[in-house]
Amino acid sequence: MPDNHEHLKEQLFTAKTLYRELHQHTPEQQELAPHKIPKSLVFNDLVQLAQGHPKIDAQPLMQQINQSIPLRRQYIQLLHKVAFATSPLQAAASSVIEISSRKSAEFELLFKRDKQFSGQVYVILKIPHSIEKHHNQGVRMNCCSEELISSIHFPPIVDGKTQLIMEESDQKFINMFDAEFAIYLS
Amino acid sequence: MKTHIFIATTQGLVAIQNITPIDDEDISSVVSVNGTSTTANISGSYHNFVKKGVGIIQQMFGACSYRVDISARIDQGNSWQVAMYLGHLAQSKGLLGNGEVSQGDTVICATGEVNTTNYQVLAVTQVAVKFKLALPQLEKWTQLGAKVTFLLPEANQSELKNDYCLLIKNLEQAAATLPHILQEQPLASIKNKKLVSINSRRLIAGASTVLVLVLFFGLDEFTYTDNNHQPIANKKNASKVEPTQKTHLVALLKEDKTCTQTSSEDIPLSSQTFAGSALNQLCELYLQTHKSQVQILLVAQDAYTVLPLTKSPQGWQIPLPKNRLSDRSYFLVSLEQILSEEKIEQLRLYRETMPKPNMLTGSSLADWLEKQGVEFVVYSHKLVVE
Repeated sequence: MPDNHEHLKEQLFTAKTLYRELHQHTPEQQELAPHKIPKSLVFNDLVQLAQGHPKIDAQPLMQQINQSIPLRRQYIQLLHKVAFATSPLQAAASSVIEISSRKSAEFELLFKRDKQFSGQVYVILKIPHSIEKHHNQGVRMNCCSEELISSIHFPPIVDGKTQLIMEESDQKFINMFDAEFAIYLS
Repeated sequence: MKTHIFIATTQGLVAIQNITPIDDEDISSVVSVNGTSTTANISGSYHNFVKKGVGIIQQMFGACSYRVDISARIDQGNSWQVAMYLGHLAQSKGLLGNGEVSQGDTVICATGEVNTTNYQVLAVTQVAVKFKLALPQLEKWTQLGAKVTFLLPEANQSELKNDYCLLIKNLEQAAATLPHILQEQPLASIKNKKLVSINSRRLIAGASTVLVLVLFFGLDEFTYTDNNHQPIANKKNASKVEPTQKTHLVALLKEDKTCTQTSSEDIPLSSQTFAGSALNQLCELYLQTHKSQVQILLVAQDAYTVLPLTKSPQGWQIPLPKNRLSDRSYFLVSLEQILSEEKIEQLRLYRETMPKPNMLTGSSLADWLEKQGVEFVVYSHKLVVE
């Protein structure tokens, strides 16, 4: 049997498993009052979010994902499948050392402080060989640790880069440059 | 007395609160809302409006990127361009207010898109709506004692007639509405200015890297040349320079990938032109002169910058450009007398009457200096991208 058939089977298995898990309430969810159980989340929401669809309202979805271990696991599996580029956990000799940039073959992420507004930073994402979607829809960045996933949308790529202004205290900014967080771009 | 620039939008007037040169090639120009980390959707378009080759702001005002703070979001369209240009012009002259109008201030509200090739102002839509929304504020500011003008493209003249309105067909006419320009410059001279900023002091980084000045105290006369990159020395009106010591241009060069370890190099000088220096190797650049030289001016050739250098123990420090993507050419003027602030400002004005910065030649610079009756030597230097 050709390799791609095996691959297809694996994808079908994964999709089925994820679908089943998504529609079975977890023990944590079952402990919640019925009205608190998220009803609106469907598997396609996870797919859209992982693919970086710009119209998706990421905040409530991420909130649900972060409250559920199965959802988080599914979402990370999806990111593995659909991400354009990744940067794994950073190996550091000392956890005290701050990292100021992250680099992979596909992208470079760095920040520079604003000289006028203290506490604000320019977060610059360079993608030298971006795909068409990045120019039209922007770039979705997911920062994943074992306990938390944060998601942030960058504007469309211009001149091989895109940027955001962020508050230095913003948890999403902190996660980007935390060695304990892997990064997925889509 | 400040000049407040407002962008007329279909949601009301939006103030340009502040413009800050970033001038870092890594950072794109950005429009943020009220000084917060929220960016307006027009940031990408504004970046292009600044970018050299596509837009006009970098070419006119020097820095490769800026941050603009506005009072409310603008999500789409290009009708902000005329106001944004005026904001840069006012900021470069130190006139730009923050949108909080006081008695005696000037208020300019504008709508219009810019043809970045010929600087014509293009027609925009919904002018009547924009004016209607702006009118209560225009009346309020008038009562407060401010001078209020609403600029709109000449091509939209059939849509609106009001005492506040002033039709403009190009940026030259828009620039003429700034009070300082009208007072200081006759319109005829504005025509040749290409609407460029008068004050380039804040454009240091965008301006150039500069150079080096070296004085040959040992020469009785200097050779004059028309070549742009050739050094010009004082001629008939200039005093002789004591032929005692040479001026040196000293470069500190990287020894590895960073500037933590450097080596010193004396840049060769020939006919008052220093040999070109590779930008990617440079960490610091100093001009070392005889003590009789009391002021060094850096005059960029590819921007409108005129910058008095600061003296440190190592010599006159030449600021290196942050933008290291293209070659940078400049002149160094070595002076035995300090040129007053007023004279330096006049030199800037003289530079800015040139439609393009690279129209400055060594000979034209020397001609201007001669008219000031000062003793000078002009050197040229080029920073090269390799």
